[in-house]
Amino acid sequence: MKKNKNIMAIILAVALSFLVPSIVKNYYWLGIFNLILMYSILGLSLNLIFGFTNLLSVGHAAFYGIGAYTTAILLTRYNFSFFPALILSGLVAVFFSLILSISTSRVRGDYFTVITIVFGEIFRLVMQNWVSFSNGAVGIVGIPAPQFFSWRIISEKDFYFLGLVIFWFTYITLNLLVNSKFGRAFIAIREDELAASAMGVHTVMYKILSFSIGVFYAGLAGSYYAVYNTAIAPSSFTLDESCLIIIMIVLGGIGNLTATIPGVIIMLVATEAFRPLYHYRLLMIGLIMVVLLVRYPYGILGIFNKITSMRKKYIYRKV
Amino acid sequence: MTLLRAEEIDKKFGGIHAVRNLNVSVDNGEIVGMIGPNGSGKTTFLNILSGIYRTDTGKVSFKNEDITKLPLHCIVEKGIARTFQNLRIFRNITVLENVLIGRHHLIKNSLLNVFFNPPLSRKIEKSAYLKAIEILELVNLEKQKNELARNLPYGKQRLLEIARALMAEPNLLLLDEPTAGMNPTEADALCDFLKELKAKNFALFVIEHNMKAIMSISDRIIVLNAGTKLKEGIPKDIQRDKQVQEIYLGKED
Amino acid sequence: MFTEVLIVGLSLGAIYALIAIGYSMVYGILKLMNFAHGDVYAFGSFICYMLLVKYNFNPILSIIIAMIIGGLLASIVEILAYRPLRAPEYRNISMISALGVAYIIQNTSENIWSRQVHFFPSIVSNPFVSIFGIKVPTTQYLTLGIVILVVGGLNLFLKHHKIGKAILCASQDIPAASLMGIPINRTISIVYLLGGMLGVIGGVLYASSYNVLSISMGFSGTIVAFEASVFGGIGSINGALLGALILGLLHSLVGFYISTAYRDVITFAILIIVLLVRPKGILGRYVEEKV
Repeated sequence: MKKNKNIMAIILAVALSFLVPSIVKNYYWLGIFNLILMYSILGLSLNLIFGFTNLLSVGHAAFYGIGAYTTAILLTRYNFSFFPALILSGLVAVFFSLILSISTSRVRGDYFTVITIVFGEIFRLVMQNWVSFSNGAVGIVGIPAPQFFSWRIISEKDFYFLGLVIFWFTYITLNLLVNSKFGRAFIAIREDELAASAMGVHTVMYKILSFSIGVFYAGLAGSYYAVYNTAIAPSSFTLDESCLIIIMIVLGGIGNLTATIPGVIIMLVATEAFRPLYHYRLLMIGLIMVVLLVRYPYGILGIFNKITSMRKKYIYRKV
Repeated sequence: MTLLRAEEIDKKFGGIHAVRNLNVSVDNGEIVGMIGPNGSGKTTFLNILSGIYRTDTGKVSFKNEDITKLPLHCIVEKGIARTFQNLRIFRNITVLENVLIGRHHLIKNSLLNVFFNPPLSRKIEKSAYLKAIEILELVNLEKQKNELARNLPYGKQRLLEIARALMAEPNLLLLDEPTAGMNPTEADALCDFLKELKAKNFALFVIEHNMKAIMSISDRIIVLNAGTKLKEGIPKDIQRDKQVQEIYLGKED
Repeated sequence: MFTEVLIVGLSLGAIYALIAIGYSMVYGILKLMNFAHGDVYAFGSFICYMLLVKYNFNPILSIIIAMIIGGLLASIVEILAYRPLRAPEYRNISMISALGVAYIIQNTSENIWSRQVHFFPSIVSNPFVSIFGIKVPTTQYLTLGIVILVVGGLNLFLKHHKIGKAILCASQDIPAASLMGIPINRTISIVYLLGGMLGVIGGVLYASSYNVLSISMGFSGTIVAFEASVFGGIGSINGALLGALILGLLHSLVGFYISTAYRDVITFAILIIVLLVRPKGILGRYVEEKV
């Protein structure tokens, strides 16, 4: 049955991924993989929110940042150990997301989007100005390495394994979610909110649920970033960072979890390649956003386009 | 036994008095048809029954329970499912996924199961899947279950919408112009199907413009004109009624 | 002191109104949050700055040229980045496109004029003017006067002029308006043109009143426009005006009595409360979706 083939494929992929560091010894490349893992977590989580439920959140970086700051503060000031801090980072992010999702539950989706943008900016400004709490623009440094029993996570290889665990946790749990009634409810909301509601889907509750769950993983990614980078600053959690994540999932394909990963890889490679043109970075991001969407509104590798081209001969123009 | 009772239903939109003091009832296992010229308030009334609009006055009760103030997503739990005049299927997903969404409120799965007990979650979903296959076979769409909804021919899309509604195991189906856009053969097939549903003890409330269809399936017909009930009776009488003919065809000089 | 704060707030609100009106009109017709709005008029304001300061043009001429360029830029943006995505199923995607445009314009402006804060001279020669023997600060009253004229003019235009009425029709129902013979594309272009032009006036007045001009004013302007629209009711010109005045007063009061650093946080908190309590704003109309 199809399900069994999928499970085999995943088990194989998991196993292979754990073997990577035995083959790739170069720390530069492992570092790239770590970035890919981290952005994949961010992309997958935003895909749940935007790709599946059609909630355009342009503040994902802020929740990533909330996770990062939570871990940074818990580790540097309260001597927390990493794994409780990891979970708490996710939960704190969810807490703040509720402010947004509950207040926008009665208004149109467009409002929600702008609110996420404003929230993201407020977060960055508050972290920049509330110096006694966040250490301002300088940020928090000296975040200690995580420790799992006797394993100290310090090297690129160690972080690769940590990132891999969080990544697979994210990927597998999200897959379980979207292949259930919950995933279908999210998709129904995306396709036609009114019809979804008429079919018994409590749209307000499910939108809040989707947003909260997605944001949780963003918090996890932030926590990982905090210990990986050992230092965090508000300048990492900007609006254009949120836009970058959006491009990653649109490129890969909204509504398709696995397709997120190629999208992440392509954009990371692109941002590296265009590093010398740093002054024009935002211009490039903007151009990609506009051109990509005007030409391929549902993504290039995305599920919609692929199926459109495959079944072109069956498409009717419906009234 | 009276399944649905709508009393003193009244709805204004700004200056437009769409539904005036309407009283309608539907009994168990009967097919009630509603006809009337365009703009007479039929769809508005159906929207009020299904919870999309709220009536300004009056009461809607279903199975002796007051559902007037019930939010839209709670209606289907009570046993009422509907289709839409302009067809609101979920276009970008498959036929199977469409009908599975119809089953939403009956799938007793929880987040706890999904994350912490995947085998149980899978079992619950599997039973929904089996029901979906059963319903799809009923409407003859089982072979297209993995086809994208938007790729189906129009007549089959309408059937899909009905199948989706049936997945909720309703007692009452509200159908808004189910034969719209169908050719006579498809319409006849649909009428036979609706009569089959009646035989299975579903109650139906159907808005239609297709006179042949509505006359052939209805036990009772309500004629709506400018928001009020002009006439109510068995199809034979409605067909012969002079006033009904007038509102459609105009007066004879 | 308090009256001072009030007057500053009102004239600030008047400037905000010029910025918010264009934004609100676009949303009213197309349900699009035009994120590039602020950056477009900021670009226009910089053109004015260049003409005025670098090339020593006459102030009125500079403003007019800047207005035209700003309006044209807004229309071009619409044609290239929004028109292909006008269909309702692309609603969210068009917003991403708008963000992209914002970045393109922002980055281009940055590379031309740099991120620094520039000094913008006052466009009025006398800081104070005598009205009925009382000395009043010129720019603030000039601003209020301009806004009253503009809003009054717009209201008349929308009610009585052919194009204005076309805009009102389009904001109710685009397919119906189109079937009635209204040239939708042209009408929409005019709305963007107007929005851009008004925004440039607003931007220039702001720069002139506070003698500063910087790229970041673009994005914050978009946020201001959104906030004003939420308070006053989106889709309505008078709503945008009302909301903008309230926002201006709010900014002035908070900035003076509490602190400028947390002005934005407090505004955001109030925004959230408004959304919880009265999402459609003061003058907003809730349009029920026809099923």
